[in-house]
Amino acid sequence: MTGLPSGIKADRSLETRNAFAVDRDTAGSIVPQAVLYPSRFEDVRKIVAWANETATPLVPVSSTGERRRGDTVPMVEAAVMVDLSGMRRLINADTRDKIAIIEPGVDFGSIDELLRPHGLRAFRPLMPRSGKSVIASYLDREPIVNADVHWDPADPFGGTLIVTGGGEITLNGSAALEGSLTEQLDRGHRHLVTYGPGNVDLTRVLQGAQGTLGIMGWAAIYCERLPQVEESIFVASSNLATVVAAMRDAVHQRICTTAFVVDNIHLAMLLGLNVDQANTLPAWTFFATHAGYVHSPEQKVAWQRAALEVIAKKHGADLCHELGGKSADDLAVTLRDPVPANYRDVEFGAHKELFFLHPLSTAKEIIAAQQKHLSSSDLHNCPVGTYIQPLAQGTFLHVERVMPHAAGDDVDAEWTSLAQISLDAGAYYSRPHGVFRQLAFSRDDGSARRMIAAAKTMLDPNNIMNPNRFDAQEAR
Amino acid sequence: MSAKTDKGRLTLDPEVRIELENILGARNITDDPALMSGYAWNTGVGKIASSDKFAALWPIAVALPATVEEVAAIVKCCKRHGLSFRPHSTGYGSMGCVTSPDSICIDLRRMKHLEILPEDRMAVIGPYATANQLQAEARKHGLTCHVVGAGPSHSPLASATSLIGVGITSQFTSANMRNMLAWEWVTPEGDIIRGGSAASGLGWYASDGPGPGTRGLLRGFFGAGGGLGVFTRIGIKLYPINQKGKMEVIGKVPQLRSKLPPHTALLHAIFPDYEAQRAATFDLLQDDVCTVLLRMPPDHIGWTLTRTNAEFVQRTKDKTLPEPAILDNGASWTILIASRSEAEHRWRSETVRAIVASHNGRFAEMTQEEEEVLYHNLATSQYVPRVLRASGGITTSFGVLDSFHFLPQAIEMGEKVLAKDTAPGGDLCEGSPDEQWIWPHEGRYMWAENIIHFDPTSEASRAAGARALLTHFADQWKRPLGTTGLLVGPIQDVTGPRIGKAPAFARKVKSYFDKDDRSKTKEYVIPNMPPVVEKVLPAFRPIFAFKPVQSVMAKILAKKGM
Amino acid sequence: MNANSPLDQRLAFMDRCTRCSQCKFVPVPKSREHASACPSMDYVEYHAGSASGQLIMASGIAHGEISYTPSLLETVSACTMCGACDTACKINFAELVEPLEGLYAFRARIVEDGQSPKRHREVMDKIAATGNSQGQPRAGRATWAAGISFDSAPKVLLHVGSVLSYDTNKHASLRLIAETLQKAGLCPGYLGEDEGSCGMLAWDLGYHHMARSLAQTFMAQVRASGAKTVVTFSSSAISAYRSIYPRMGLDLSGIRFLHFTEYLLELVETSTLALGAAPTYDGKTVAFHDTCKLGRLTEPYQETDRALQKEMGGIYVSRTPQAIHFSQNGIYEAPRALLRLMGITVEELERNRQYSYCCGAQGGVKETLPAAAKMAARNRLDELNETESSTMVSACGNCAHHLGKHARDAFTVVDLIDIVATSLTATKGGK
Repeated sequence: MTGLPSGIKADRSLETRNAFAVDRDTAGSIVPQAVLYPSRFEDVRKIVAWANETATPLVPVSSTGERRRGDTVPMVEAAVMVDLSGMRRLINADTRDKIAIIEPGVDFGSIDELLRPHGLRAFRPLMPRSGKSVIASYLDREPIVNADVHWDPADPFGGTLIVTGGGEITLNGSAALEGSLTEQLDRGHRHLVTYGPGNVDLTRVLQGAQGTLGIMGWAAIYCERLPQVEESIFVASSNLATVVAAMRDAVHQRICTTAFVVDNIHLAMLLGLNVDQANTLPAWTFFATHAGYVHSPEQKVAWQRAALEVIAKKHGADLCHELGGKSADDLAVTLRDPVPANYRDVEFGAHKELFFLHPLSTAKEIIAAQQKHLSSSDLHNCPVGTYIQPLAQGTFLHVERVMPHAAGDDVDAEWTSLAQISLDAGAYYSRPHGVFRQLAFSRDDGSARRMIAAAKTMLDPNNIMNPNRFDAQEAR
Repeated sequence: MSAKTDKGRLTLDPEVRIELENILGARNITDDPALMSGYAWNTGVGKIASSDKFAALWPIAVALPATVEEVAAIVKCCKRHGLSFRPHSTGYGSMGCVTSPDSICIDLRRMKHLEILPEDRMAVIGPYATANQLQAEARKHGLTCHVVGAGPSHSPLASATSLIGVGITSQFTSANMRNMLAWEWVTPEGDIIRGGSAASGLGWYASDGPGPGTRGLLRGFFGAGGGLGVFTRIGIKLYPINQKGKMEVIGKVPQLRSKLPPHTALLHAIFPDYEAQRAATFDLLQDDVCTVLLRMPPDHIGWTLTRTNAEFVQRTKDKTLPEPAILDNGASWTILIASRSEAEHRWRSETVRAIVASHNGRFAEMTQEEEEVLYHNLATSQYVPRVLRASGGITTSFGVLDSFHFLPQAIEMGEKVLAKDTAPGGDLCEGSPDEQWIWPHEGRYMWAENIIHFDPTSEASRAAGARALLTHFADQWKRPLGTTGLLVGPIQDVTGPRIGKAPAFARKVKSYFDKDDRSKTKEYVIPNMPPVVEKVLPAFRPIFAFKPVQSVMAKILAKKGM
Repeated sequence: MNANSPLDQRLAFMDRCTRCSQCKFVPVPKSREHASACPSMDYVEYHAGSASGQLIMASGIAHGEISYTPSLLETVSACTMCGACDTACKINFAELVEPLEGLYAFRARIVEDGQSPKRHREVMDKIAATGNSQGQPRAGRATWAAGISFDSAPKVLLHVGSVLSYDTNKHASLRLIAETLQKAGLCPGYLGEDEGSCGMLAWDLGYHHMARSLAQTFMAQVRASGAKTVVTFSSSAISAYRSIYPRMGLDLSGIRFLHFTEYLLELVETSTLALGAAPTYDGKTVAFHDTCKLGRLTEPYQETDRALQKEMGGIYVSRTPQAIHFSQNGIYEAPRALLRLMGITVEELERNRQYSYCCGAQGGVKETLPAAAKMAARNRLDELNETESSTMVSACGNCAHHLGKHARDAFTVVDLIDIVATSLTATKGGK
């Protein structure tokens, strides 16, 4: 074992290292050799430089609590974990520009408190656990529920600082300016632009890379102003096509700050009900929130609600203020309420997940194909929830199937089979995790592998960042 | 391939010709100088041309492929024979001109694929599906596309993949680097690579994955600029509008107008100064009140509201131009509010009016006809090509991307660069003291570009244009207003740390995919630059910023073109 | 460089082309399929096929950058001189480029340089020998009028034009109209076999001297007849009278030039003639094809100082802005009004009036590059797919014949003259 870089907190205890050898759904067998705790991006750079000199694999991790999906579990021997969870500073926040700059250890459990004095709050995915790193979530292109401002998969990132696997510090987007970050902020720059500069967009490259290309030192993130008025509502139907159509219209008209569709099982999970109670819920529900921030907020929310009523009527969906004994406004609060546990595990202790992208226009067909398979498989009696999140302002969907189950249940084979069926039906696994980590590349015409190899060559030429996470991705 | 024409230009080797004819059919390859002249026209938006109307470098042939496979075969043919190539879509200005004497121009004119997927608010397009066609088809479904500065006849694919991508409606139509979805690309080696969902044969909707967003290697702010092979198909995001169906046009050529749809208003707010405009802007950007915000310099509004240059000049002299076109009214926003219901429209209108009033602003008086002309030009982005009407020569600089905090500074800096030469007797066309086009993106940040308007037939005017351009860069080096978007090609290398490691990474991309530099362009970083030069070059910035040096450089550029 | 050469006079305008490609498209297209403004670009595909491309080639010739090649001449020959580029360009550039003037000058230069394509020369030989581009004998020109006696000192002189004169399918309609006019007591004159080419085609092909000579001859005939009104059945001729003759320094004073659609409409509106329901088309819907010559190219030419002067440090300004052509005041309404008066509903094609797409019949393309002309016709006919109509009506015999020749499936093309002729009657109170 080589010596660790000096001046950076490290932990080599077996207990700590063992904790990183596995995660909730990954039975890893490789124990990292140490865990390093940088406190500033300069430390990260030092670690990466050291790793390049010593050919030490690094696996970055930012979130705390129960990790999943295997992307923070070493896949090679002698790896060192780079635990960024201690980098928890809110560096800047600006109400006027609705943007903040945060470090990777800032998590969903703390961010809204940090932002509150600035009149802001974070865009967040569907009920993230409190220990989930905001930057890690955005880096993994985890969908935010705010389809309205999700213009592009790079959202909600603004400018960023990245330490590449090769040890270079890059300022990205409109953060690429002279001077220290403090000097930049003093001049009035707010790093509002994510793409570029020049001919490359390294923030985008790093997104979805699962720690294989570099480490983000800080990031500007778009935020939502704290609303003065906020109203939520359920738009329900027995028919999936109906609620998807209503959601599409609402998102296209940009009248909802939050918009997603769930089936009764997934809604039950969100509402804290048990699976049996799901039967009392509508088969499909589109959850919508309207918000008024600054200008005549009541009036704004009123016309948006009226517009939603027109949409619901047009598609034959029902508007409900309350479902399962809980109001839509209560659910809106719950969605922002950080809890350590994953809501999907609450009832049975464990869950399987399957998520992919799909065109909005054919959502019904792929769900039908999955349901057909499920009904004829060993899972036919198991509850499988559905969560549909419009992305890029309703250009396409994140579709997520979740099966809560008891911790000891062996459902891997059946779940893998569902993943395969989904792939055949057109699921695009843009974020290769879990049982679809390999499947994600099975339809690739060679392009994705080649581009990943290119990115690896340019950003991580010595293959030190989370090696073996993707097939055929090594630098050449 | 050593033969040369009487102009000293390389000629197409007969063996290469036969290969290309086999790929494309004889009709779709030409080395006839007359047919190639249109690909060597030394002019256009953004360029300061020399006094010669024709570029010094001509293609050795022009190829017209119809499929991605044909493009790949052409590129491989170039590689086999040691030739370079230059992709060319609509070829606005001379952006599609070759930059080496051994280049084949690949004109993508025959690749016109255009398919609208209305429920997914997107389209799938080839390189010659132009914005006006895309918009026409999208409108049938209550959608529109983003139209960049080049105007309705540009190629959205080229814009999305290769050249900037901002446009006057970016407040609600974002910009094409963000609107691009899945993509198909012929590498400089002739391989066909697809990105996002297209790589898995699953459609054109998802831009990234599986895994990393590798599109970021090919497309940052500026785009590939012709330096990274040929893009042949993309998915592109469309935007819902409050009107479905064909755009009805009224009025007579050239003052085409469109009636505002129901629940739509076009207002022109004028503020007492730029500080007031800035403060108002921050308010206008909250709650997504406005559909479009556009600040055009008053003289450019004047060109839009007059039929001819003659009318513009006469009315300028007579002082009869409408309020938005009066130079003193530069602190202004043209505001489009497009609502879907009466209640929505009331909220938007009342809010906008209250905000403008609270910042001591007022609304310009306009006739209905003027309002409809402005609306038409805004909705079609026909505004922008009309900017060239005065003299036929513009270039543009800054490209500020940052908070609206910098609005007054951007104006001030623009004035500093242009005021002297745009005043009567100056070397540039007379106009506003600054010529900033400013608009917000996605309700978030400012884009500001300062249009330099020169007479391309006058060497003194071209030199003034070049001098202004260089001064923009130097001023930004001294006092950054935000990212300078319009750092094209080698200027990136000189700018150096100001834009981080971007040029170095772009060079890595270039070396990785195009080590022999077959995909030739001047609009990408300098390829194969030794690291020591890469490091040292930015140190020369003070020299480039030194006024006498700039003056000499400007004179050279006015003679040689750039 | 010869400062008096038309091309050199236009060179500065050509050199201002920014290659924006606006000239290839109709302003604000209504669909992708029918976005093109330019049949020649559609055929050639290389940029050279567009107005911009032709101006660049012309500039190349003028600057000595390129020489004449067969491809150049073929490309130029694919242009119908329809002027759609001019309309489109002016949306952006008003007086700055004026493509059509450049195209006229380029063709003149080609002729001046002795490079006129062989087929163009053949056409001109025929015009010189027979007074028509088809080379039909002069003796056959007036057969349609056999037995009709015309006034030798008329107030109105009829001009039939080369196409209808020799198209025997149109003779019945011509006769009916002439007879109806006579019944109404109007007694027009007619030049008969002495009628020659109006010169429009000669002008389009770049033979400007020949065009002037033909125009002079015709004007002399008009003066000799004593008529103060010339009514033509030819869209080329009305375009020549209004848009080309005034450039030639001819004395046109006191003569009123009308297209037959304008003339008949005027007579109907003044109750000299009556227009009844059209026998076959009453209550039906048809799509109307605006002929380029009849529409945007009939905009009256005004004597003008074409040079631009530089103002305000580099803004190029027309000295006679009122004379800039913007495709206005062409003959758009008269044919539509006639159709409506006959009980026919007129449906607009996507590219209509000043934005009309040329069918390929004009500018010598039909004679020189039939494949290009056919493609243009097919493109135009495809526009019917976006309408409820299966019938396209044109008020130009040339267009109607060309389109009709290339119509497929259920589409038909009808010449307006054939509908009007059978519906027209003299009123009892006819003068």
